[in-house]
Amino acid sequence: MLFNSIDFLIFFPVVTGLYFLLPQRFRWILLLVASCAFYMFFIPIYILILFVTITIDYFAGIKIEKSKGKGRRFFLSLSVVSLCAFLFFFKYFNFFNANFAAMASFLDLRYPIPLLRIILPIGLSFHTFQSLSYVIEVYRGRQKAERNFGIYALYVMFYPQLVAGPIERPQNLLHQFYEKHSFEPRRVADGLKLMLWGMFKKVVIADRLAVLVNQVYDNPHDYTGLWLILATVFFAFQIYCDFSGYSDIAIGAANVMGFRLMQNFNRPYFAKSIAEFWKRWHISLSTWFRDYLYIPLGGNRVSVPRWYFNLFITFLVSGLWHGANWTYVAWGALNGAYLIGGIWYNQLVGPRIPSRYFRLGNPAKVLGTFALTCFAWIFFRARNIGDAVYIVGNLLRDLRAQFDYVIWIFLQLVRGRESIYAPLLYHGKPLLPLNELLLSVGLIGFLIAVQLFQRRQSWMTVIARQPIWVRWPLYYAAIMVMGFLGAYHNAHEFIYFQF
Amino acid sequence: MKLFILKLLIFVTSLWIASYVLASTLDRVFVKDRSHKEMWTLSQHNLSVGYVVAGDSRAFNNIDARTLEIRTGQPSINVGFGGQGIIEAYLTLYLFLQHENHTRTVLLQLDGADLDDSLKFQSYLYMPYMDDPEVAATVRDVVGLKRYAVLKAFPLAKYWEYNHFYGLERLQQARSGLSPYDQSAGSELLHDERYHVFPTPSDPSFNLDARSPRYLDRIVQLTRSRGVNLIVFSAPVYHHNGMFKKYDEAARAYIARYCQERGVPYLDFSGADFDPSEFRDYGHLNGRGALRFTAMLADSLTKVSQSPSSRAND
Repeated sequence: MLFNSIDFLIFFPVVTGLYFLLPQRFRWILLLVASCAFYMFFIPIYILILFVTITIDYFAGIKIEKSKGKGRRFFLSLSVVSLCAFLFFFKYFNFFNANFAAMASFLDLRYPIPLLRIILPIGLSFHTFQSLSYVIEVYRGRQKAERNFGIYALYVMFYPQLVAGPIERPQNLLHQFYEKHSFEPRRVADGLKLMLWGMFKKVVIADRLAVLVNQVYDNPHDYTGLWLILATVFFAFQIYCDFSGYSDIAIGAANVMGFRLMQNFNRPYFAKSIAEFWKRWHISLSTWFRDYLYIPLGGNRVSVPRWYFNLFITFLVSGLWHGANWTYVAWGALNGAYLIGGIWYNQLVGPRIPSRYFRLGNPAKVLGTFALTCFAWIFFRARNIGDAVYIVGNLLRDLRAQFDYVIWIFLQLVRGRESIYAPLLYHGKPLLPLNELLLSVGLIGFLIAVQLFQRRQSWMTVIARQPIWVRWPLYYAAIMVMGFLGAYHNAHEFIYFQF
Repeated sequence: MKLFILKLLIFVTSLWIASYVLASTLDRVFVKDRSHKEMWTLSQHNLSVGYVVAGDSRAFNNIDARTLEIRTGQPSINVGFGGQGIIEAYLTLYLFLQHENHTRTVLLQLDGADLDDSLKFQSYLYMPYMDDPEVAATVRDVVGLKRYAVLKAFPLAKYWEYNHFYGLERLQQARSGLSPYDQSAGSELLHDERYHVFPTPSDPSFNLDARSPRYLDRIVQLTRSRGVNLIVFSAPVYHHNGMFKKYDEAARAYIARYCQERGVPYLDFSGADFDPSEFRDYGHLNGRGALRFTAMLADSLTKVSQSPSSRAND
């Protein structure tokens, strides 16, 4: 079930209403049934996969807690291997199989294993990591094994964050299913506001930006220069609004019922370095990789070459987590290289340059980080490495002529010689109507303005302090804007659903 | 909790009332939109004509209403538009007759694409008319109960869902009342003489959509109940490299059989003598071809009597 669907519009109030009407002891049952129904909206039979992994991890957790020494490691390994096996089979089997087949073909060898028709279970990567987090924390003694099978199942399947996170830790989420959550109007209102904001980011900004992004990235060889740059920048905001929008809806929906999920995004495009970017972007995933891969590898408490290796491998795996394609691996590798480059610069080069020669102000750092991030997004969004290489190689081609054209068309618009609905043309082919381009840029500007405002204070707190005759018109306006400007004809499922 | 729910109910109710008022205002504006052919067709009121040409783009682009008027001596109008399947043809004719328009004869262009599921129902065109029970029932039949319930329950939903069509540009065009179709009585001939190869050069099998016979029956009932003659015709096609040959043969066999069973005259121009240079693509004549076809159709109309089906090139 998608959050931006009629089904969810009915599902959410019904489940929430029943949640508050039911006595505390039955609430987890309601949430579990609702989460199962939510999951089964996609491919019903796949709930069996969840059931199997939940059962394995439930018993593994109890066994880990009861066992000692090698026994603990055995049950941890059993759980980790089974979880990773499911993930590998559904997500990576065809990818590796195709690559081995290509290698065999190159070496003129017979390769008998065919590709399988596999549909990726929705949210597999997310709930797999959430389950892994549980068994590892039990193994480390930082979490008691959950004895209630239903509660553990609910921890894995809790519907607001089931298909695209945030990836929760058991210490944060599990105990909340035992807590009594009363109906608090202020908290419920805040949750609903957050859901509204998330939906706004998704349907008004992300889906609208997707029009140009899809047009260019689906046929990149038809475009050069400015259009490649514009599509890449648009994608940077599309993926942010899409994913953070989903997270906001998930966190808001959970908050309405009294559950606190972790923050997943913290104004990432205001980061002043790539390292800071990764503390602000998909926080639940980056902290997961930090705690369960980077630190166990040794983190930065090793030799410098090993430190660089740990960073690189962590981001390589993070890239692969996003999808079974070399473009994601390249994206991860690029981010790893950025971080290593940043460390190298800060430790070796930076101190040697006199401050009077090279001191970047914060705006320059923010823009520089954004530019680096956008460059990496090229690989993330491109269909394949070939497309990505083409885009990188043609980012600056024909730039001058294209800028001249855009300036000319805007001058024509200002002089009343061109309609605002006229399409921008590229080699005679329509690209995007002017009004759509202006609207998209305007929406990005609005998003940046909201986020600048949020440096000082939360917009929700500010709105909550206003009298009703200010608040309600704001809500009406937000809903009307969502209705009239939402790109429903271009509605996509959330980008991170495919991971 | 009770106070919160009460506030929420007041909020939702006031939002609903505001959306009802806004939707009603938009209905009144958009029913006057005459900028695009579809909206021009649906906005026609109080006309009295001899011939109404209806159907998809093979009616819209292949028949010149002014030439038909001259050849038959009867005022004519072309209400066809692109992408219109049989369900839309029914709705278009229904709304045309509902809006106090009168005609003696409806000339309905039919072929396989109107009767299988090739043409997607353009539900957004009918949103300003959703208060009409017949329009609402037809939209419900096509979009399904869930979406229909949302469209009806929340008045602005129909404009929000289709805001790519009902945007500022259309609002401005609707208020201007201008139309390029008044002069041509709804026709738009394709004067581009260059032949365009059809994008899908194949010959799929013709699969009649389950709803098509029902809507064909409704068209027959509608015209008969209003005392309007109905003549079905199939425009010429050019089976370039054999494309769509068997598909068209099967479709026209069905149409001929249907018309014979219901006593509806059928003019089949599929075998008419047209040179490839008179076609703009497989299914559409160019301007030159369309003018000649219109004259041919006009001449055939005088020969149509009680015979339910005839090949037009006999």
